[in-house]
Amino acid sequence: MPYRAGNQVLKPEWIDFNGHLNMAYYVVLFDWGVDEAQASVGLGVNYSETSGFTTFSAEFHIRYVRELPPGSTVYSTFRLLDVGPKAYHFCQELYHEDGWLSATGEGISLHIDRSGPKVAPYPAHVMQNLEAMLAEHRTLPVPDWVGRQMGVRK
Amino acid sequence: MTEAQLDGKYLSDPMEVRPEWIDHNGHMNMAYYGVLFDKGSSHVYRRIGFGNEYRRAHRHTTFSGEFRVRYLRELKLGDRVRCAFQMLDVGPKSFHYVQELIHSDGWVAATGEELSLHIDQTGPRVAPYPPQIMSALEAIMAEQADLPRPEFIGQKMGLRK
Repeated sequence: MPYRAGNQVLKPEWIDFNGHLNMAYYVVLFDWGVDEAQASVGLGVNYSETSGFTTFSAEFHIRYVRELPPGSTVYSTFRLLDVGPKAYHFCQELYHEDGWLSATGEGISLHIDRSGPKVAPYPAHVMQNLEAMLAEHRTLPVPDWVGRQMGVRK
Repeated sequence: MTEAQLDGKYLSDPMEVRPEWIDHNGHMNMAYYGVLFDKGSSHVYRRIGFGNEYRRAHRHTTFSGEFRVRYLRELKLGDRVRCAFQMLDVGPKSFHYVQELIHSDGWVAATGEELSLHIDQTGPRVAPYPPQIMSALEAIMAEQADLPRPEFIGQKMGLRK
């Protein structure tokens, strides 16, 4: 199973003139899911505030699948795709609580030494946790949209 | 056209990083770059003929189909950025473009790449642009056709090992 984050409710100020969740705020929801998944491997807010190290996002790619109406309750999943000594590659899905897919996300997270800031190796216990999670997630199929390039259909 | 340009790319008005966008890292959280990219493209959407008036009059609007951000440099509270816009491709129902967030000191904080879809809200479903919108899109494409295509467009995401 991919990691599943807790439920979130859309904020009214995130709704745009189309009457749905504005495209920009999907990243807020995906990022909260990443926060939860990271806490489970030892990279939570507490780690960022006390260790001198933190994580930065290097890249994020969203595919918008179905619009979310005001007041929706949603949750995201998190699946590791690859882990390196200083970064990991992951994908996410954002679901409405009724079970339908609203959007997908794919990203790269960097481990950062705040004194730079510069990219730095994970401590041993975090590396162990990431590798354990990766081993579990590698048994799941890789979604066909991972690594895909966007373009206009003609 | 009268709007500001940088090397042929259309520039938005300056926007300022707000306190509620700062996270526990003391910089603008990754989630809010999308807000700046979205606000920073609205002048181009208005020029094309989109916006709330268009939506109300025609029951058609634009949805984002895909969005990809590359985070290059941190933004701090009070930083001012402009958003640069470059059209990459135009189709009958969608257009593809790239943006840069440019700090007031001249460096690029992030790039954004978006696929914008034309939507019939009675579906909602993807629908062809009317002729006046298509002409506006093609005019922008023609004006920016000679700009170099950024090398990161189409690059596959992955770890450097």
